[in-house]
Amino acid sequence: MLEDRFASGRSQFADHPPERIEPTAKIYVRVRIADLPEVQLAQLDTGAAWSILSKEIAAAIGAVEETGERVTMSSRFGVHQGYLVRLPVTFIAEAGESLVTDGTFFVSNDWPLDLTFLGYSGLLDSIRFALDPQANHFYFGSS
Amino acid sequence: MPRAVRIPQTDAIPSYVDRIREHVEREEVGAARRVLAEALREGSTEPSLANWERLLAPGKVLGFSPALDSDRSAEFGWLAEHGKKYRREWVAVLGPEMLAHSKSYAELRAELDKLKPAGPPFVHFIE
Repeated sequence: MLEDRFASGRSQFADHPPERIEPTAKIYVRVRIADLPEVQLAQLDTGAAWSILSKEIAAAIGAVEETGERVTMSSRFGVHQGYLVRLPVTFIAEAGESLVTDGTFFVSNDWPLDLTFLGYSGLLDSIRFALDPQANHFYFGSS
Repeated sequence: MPRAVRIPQTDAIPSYVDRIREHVEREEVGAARRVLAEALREGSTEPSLANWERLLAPGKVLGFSPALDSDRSAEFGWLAEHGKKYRREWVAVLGPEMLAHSKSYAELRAELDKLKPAGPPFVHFIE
């Protein structure tokens, strides 16, 4: 058995959006974006280079284009003009401690979804995380 | 006697920032980081290089917070039962009750600021 303390916090993840069942399971974890007080779900997407933030949430926290760098990104929805910004994100724990980190997010007016995606570069590459799919537990900690 | 011919240069050398942006847009994060490192090593003073340094850095752990979230099965239960009626809207739910809903996140936030809920609500956009 390893003695390493792998994680500092744990939360329950959802494997589908609360309002509908989808044909394939995905991983939705609880986060707090910047200093917003509410809890939201964000989809873990380790295959994505960048995290994506809803344009409406970005506007609410002042993460406007002037604070970032303009880029053009491609996705399955097409080509999107937007910008990259750096923001704090809190992985909210139900047990242990919540983890506050910062990450780089893509924001675009063309992006058709209002869900937050947590991508690998500049966010997930800074933390430890693991899943227990039988219990729907998401473990996270500082790497 | 052969003479050296000067070949006119028509293509300007792309700036470090242009090269970084090009790699980023192709999702070549490692390559973008390598160009950034080269630019910093060479002492480039291109504007927005500092911005790219921040954006391309691996995420940084800022700290730990003792604040814990509660069991959200009541909120999820409400969304499973009523969520379909609020398609394309933001909803805020606390326990088994909806606090507010709006097509605009800014309007939902303003409503929540007025309501001052007893705890952090669960906010969700219903696709």
